[in-house]
Amino acid sequence: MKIQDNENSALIPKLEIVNMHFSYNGARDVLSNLSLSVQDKQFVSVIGDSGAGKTTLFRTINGLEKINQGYIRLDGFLQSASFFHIPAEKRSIGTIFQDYALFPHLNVEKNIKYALQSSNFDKKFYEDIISLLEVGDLLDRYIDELSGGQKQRIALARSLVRKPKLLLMDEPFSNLDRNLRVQIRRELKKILTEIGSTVLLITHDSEEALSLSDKVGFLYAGEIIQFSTPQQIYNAPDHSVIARSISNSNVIFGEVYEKNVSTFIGKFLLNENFDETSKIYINVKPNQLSLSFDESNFVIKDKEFLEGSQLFVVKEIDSGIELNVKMSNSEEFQIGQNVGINIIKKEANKLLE
Amino acid sequence: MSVLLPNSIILKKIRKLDIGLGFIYISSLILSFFLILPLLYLLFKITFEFNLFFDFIFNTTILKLSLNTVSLIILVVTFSILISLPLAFLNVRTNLPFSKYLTSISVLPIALPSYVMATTQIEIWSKNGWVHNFFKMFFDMNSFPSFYGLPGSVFVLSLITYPYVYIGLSAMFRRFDYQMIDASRTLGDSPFATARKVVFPLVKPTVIAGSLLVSLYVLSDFGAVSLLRYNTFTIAIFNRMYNSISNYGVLEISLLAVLFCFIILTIETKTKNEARHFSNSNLSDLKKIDLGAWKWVIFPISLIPLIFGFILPVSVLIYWLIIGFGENMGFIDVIQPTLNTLFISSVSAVFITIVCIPLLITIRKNIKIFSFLIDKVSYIGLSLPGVIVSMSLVFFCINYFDYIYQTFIVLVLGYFISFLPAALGPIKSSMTQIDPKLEDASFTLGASKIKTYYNVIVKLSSPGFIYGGVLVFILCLKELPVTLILSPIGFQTLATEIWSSASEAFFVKTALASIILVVIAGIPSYIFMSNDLSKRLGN
Repeated sequence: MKIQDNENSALIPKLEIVNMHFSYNGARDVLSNLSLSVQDKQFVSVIGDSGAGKTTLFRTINGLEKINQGYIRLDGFLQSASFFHIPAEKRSIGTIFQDYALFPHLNVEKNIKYALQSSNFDKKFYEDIISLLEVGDLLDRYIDELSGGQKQRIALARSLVRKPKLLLMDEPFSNLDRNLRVQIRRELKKILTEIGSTVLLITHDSEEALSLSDKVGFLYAGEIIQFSTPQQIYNAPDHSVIARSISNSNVIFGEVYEKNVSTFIGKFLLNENFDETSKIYINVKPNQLSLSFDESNFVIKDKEFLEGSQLFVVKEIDSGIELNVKMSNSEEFQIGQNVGINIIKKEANKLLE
Repeated sequence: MSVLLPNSIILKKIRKLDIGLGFIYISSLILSFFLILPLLYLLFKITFEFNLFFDFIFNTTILKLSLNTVSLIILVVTFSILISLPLAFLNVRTNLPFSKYLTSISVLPIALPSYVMATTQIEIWSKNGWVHNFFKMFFDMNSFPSFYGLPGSVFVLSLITYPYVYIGLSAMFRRFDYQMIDASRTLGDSPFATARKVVFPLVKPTVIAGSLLVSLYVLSDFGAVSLLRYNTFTIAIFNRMYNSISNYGVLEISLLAVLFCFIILTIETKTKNEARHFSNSNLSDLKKIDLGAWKWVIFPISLIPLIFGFILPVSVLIYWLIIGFGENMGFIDVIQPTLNTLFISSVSAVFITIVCIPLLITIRKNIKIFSFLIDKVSYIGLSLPGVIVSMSLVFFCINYFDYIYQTFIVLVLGYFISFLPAALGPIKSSMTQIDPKLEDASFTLGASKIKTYYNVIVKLSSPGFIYGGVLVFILCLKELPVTLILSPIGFQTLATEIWSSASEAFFVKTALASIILVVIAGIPSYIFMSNDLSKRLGN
């Protein structure tokens, strides 16, 4: 069962957004100069904090808002431009809303068949989706009789039975509890891979985006500031805001010459060369640092137990600068204790401010 | 510490409690009998003349009466929706100027009893009224359309009842999940198809619920239609009781009216059942539509219901009051009816609030069919027009309890049947909020059941009792048909005083009584409604 077969899929991006600008009623740009490209069968996520423009991006792609500049193409066909707009109902984009937006006055079956022509739809595909998502037993129920996970599967079924060219999801896991979220995430990924869907997920949850996606875009102040693989964005973020947001990284100011960076906690090595002395910010992950008893120019401000490790927040006594340090669970440091900091891995990357 | 007491003492205690609860159950049974009395009496009388009933209702006079009532209901419901739908949408979902205040004050017409609204609107719209006199200054206005009959009744009742639809719609628009519209669009529906397939089905239950309330109001109304001389069921029953010798047809017309009520209630139950899965409870993310410069055009239009439904009628009352003082209209006569009104309303409110206790304990005990029946019977007054309640009590008393006829007992009984649901609602809701563990805690501390019910249930639900009592008090202050029919001879209240003077076209004489009634009953009614609206809007 495949949702689409496009011979040109390798050549043309499934979704292409180029230099898009959007503002509400001519006010300040909510999205500015935004570009993004999603290839066929790719799972792409856009991460962003509150107010970054995620919901607006979602609404411009599915045609609920008109854009001011730039363009959006789907399968090479123009969908939105400053002079042109295909309305939401005419775009072949399957949408999953944050609260699922299932119709409370219709039962599950009528919700799923909502967009299908009563006489003319691919019954085989419909039945395959029902069976794949295991919603056959729920068809007579109403939405208020479903659990969060069931609602999500119904919303997915409702979008998929239309065979959309692109599946667009807005925070689809935010209403689920943590255990269910992880389980449903895995199931969803499996199903979407099986169908061969092209997916754009918009979320604030970096863990969700990194674990599901082939590529991740980071949306900041209405602009995609980095678009790369999950590994790249996690290991070598371009911007200090991404470093802080995604991996609890420390953004440390230092002075660089050639590949050596001197900072207030010690020296780091860059993967690029500087001929002249410069002042830069570098990205130092919490697991590149460790705590020691021997020196005492830092104090432990807070600690948090994570799976298999613990994250310490330590403060430099003189300057008040705070650093995140990740260590194994066996280490016994207490809040309020004076400690020193050691660098256990010297490689770092330069960050844009 | 009952566990430490010897067995015999515990047994005694239990026996004592059983007697206490038994007394409560018997009281509930007696009260329920009185509640169901009007209906029982009608059915009892009609079973003896079943064939005659059908002969009676299928004649031209009765069919015309039914048609009159149905057309009034349909027209008032239509106009109530036409007024409240745009008004609620504009106030709640757009950036209309002062919409925050307008949302609440748009329900102000509810402060006017229907007979006060009718008298004031007659002054404005009838021949030689304000509007006619105004046009006479510029044009030759020998013929002027009559305000009496259907047009006036529709106008007056629409203005009074639109708040019932408006409140539900405002809450619905506030909670409407706009993602539904987006979802429908992204699933391929045009804006028109979205309106038909999503918006209309989601709005429909609220509109129907409000319309049914309006229908019941119109069916029960006596004050407005009697002053506007429009013949409906209530008027026919009243006239046949007082203006004909044989009371011919009173029972049959009453039964017909009750059938209409049951049809309305059946539709309501069906609609509620259909809408049981609707849960538009999303209060967050309220994005208001920007009307641009149009808001200054729409704003004055949105004030029209308030102007016609409250500002103009109150202006008329003030105008009459000034004239009345100038002409030495004998406003001193209002003192006794005012005192009478306050007396009978207070007594009734206290009585009705107290009798809620045994009824609610019986309902709460959940004794299968018994509690269920008591619960259902308690709400019977909500659907029966006051004229019918009073008529059946009159007939019942004349035939079986002659010695209480035309006493305060029967008047309070009439109020009890009509207004018990109003008290029961808030008391019941405050009771359901009490944590059942508190009852268990009281029992384990050795308190008896009666003591537990008093200390835990009654004391903790006292805000509900106060609210319910005040609500009944207000309703009694305004009530016309029950007071008119069941009052002892010579006992005048504000409502009957206004109605009697207005029936004889002494409108100016009604001014002071009307203003007192609006201040002591109308404004508190408005505050209740407006608070309810605020809660539903999540303010």
